[in-house]
Amino acid sequence: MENQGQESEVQRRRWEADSPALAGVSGRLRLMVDNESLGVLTVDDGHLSVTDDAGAVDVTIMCTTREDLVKMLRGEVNVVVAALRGQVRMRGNRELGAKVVLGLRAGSPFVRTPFDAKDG
Amino acid sequence: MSLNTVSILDGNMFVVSDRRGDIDASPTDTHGLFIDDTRFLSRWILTINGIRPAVLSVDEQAYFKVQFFEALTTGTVYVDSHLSVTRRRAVSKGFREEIEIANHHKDPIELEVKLEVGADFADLFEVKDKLQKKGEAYSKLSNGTLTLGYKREVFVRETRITADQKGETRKDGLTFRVKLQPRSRWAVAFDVQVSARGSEPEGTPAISLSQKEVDEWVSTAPRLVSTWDALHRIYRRSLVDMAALRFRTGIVPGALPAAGLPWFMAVFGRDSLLTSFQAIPYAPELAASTLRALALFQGRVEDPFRDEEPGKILHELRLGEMTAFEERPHSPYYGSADSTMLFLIVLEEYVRWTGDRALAREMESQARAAIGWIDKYGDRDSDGYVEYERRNKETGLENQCWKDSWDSIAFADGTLAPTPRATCELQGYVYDAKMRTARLAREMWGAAAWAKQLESEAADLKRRFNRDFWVGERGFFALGLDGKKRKIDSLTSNVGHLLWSGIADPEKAGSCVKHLMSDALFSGWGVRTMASSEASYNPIGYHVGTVWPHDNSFIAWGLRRYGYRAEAARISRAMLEAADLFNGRLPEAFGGYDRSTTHFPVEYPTACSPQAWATGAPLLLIRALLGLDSDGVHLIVDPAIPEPLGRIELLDIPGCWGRMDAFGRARAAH
Repeated sequence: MENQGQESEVQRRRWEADSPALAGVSGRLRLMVDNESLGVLTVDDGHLSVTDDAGAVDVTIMCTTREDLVKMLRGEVNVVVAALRGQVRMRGNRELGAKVVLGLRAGSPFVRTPFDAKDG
Repeated sequence: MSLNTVSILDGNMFVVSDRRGDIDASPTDTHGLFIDDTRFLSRWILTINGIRPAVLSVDEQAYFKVQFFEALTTGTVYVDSHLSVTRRRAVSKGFREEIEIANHHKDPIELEVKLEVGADFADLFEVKDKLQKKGEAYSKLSNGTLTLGYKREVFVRETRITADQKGETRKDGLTFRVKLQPRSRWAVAFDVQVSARGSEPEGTPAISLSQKEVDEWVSTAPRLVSTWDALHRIYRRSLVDMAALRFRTGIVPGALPAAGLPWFMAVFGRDSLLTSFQAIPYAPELAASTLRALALFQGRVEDPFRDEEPGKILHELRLGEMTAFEERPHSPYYGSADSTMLFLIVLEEYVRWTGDRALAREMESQARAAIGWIDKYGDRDSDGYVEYERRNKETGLENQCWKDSWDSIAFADGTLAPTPRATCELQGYVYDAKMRTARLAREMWGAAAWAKQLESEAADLKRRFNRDFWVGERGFFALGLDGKKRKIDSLTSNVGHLLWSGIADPEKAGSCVKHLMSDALFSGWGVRTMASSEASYNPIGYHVGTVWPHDNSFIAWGLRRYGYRAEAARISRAMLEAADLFNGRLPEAFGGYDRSTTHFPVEYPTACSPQAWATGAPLLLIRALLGLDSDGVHLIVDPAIPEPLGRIELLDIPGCWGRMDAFGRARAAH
């Protein structure tokens, strides 16, 4: 997590968007890189938001690098290829996890993500 | 599979060895321990004092375990062997082998027992196409565990071998020095675990099996009673093989049928759907799992490399290295022109049979997307017919119908038809899919207007099809239309699928039935894929003359649809008699030789066995014999059983009615 007392990137900005490709899909996904939780992606019938909470989730998605996570949120990742190469792993409801990653590939609303390299 | 190999399997894990139990992979021997399309053992050879024991017999106890009885021969028939060897092997969440050596002599004996091991981590595509590896192999020893590994960038696969006896472990194997007293035994057990990411060994997503679980699976299926004893054996074999071919994706709950051993232990759209259809009256849960898995991966984008288009149902999902590095498009690959229609057909059949309204509701958006694919992408040139042409010219499939070998779509004179190809059964499937989806739309989704539209489109398709595909001078439907809209005028088994779909006008169907039962198409064991009258015919040509059991099961079911009960019974009987001669297990395909020339169906050299839709064939044939159907409320039974099969009872058939029994017996008229 971000340093104590310092507002994280996720907290500073509201990351919300709609993805028609995820209509009918709902659930909470914890996003992790290198065993560190970076936030929670909540999908509510096509409405997506990224928050910084520690609440319960349906599935945890573990990416090897931050770059892999960013690519996944931007819909640039084929989930099967990424899983075979060990770049993305899932724990929990993997059907939901796969559904969301596949849906993002069909139409990601994230041109930028909360986890992009900081450029102001 | 070759008669010289022994295979055991558990979901997507399987072991192929020679009859001694040795694994010795070579370009000609596709031996190995395979998991997720990767060979984790390519060498596994037992020697005792430098000699490979000779096999006495092989006891294939269950599809996931086998025993090999062997002896260390003396090299001469005049001296008896005093050393016997038993190898017991099983796959289930890993691979385990126990080797027991017995000294029957009155003197002690000193032995060097050696197991040579190796792993080439070949992708199944590399095995099939004889390609070289691009990464680095390594091996390491730690606390008696031998690890064989392979690394290519972030792609890491490992095989870990441990033994329960202390020996000398080296990178190429394990050696044990044993002093065996008279009349005594010595045993060692090896455990093999595999790992995909160099972390702790992973449990395979396959189902773990025990005899108890197999017995439970069989006992939940309807019970068959027949006066023809062979039918019991065939039926049980089908159920057990169906259990063997189930595997979990690890993503979607439940198990679905993989296509077949050894090359096709993977999720396939067409194969998993057709097998699920065959199994609906016996194990309807397979269809539910298949539909869910295929719905998850339903095409979402246009991706020419994968032949993916929105709404399209996948052809094949693979998990090996070449898929991981996108050297093959199977992540998943969508090069199948019929899976999308078959998805809708199986959905409606499953819902009508089980009354599972929840799944019907769950699948509405996927069904709408599938219909959208048929109309927008399936019909590539807007001529009103679904046709295929691969977008991936390098590694995509040229033929995207079930007869997917290179030479299968040919004119009567043997000329290959140019693409795009609109094969006839695809149009039948579109007709059936739209009619069935209309029923779901009306009864499950409250979409009466859409239902009416679908029925209208189906009726229009039927009218045009009977005009445009009919080869009037020969009296059957063309195999398809080629890229220039010419009729591909060869006589093939595909016309039988038109009966299953219901697209054929009744009088034209009658003419097709005469052809199906003619000497040119019906070999006596079954309907050939291509008639012997055609220039491309070859009795051992994969799709141009062999007999495919699944093909025949759908033809028989189609004959029933059009009221040709005796013809359906004739095909069913012949195919079940063939199954009896294959010890109850129909192979993927067998030779198209005329029955009058052979007392047994001739094997096709590289046929998969067990293969899912061949395993499902007897199930659909029994359904055809009993005339089982559902009207959404009741079980319909309308038997037509040929005399030699006597009486058939199928008890506790699951469906929306709960459990019901069906009974039928032969009558002289049949």
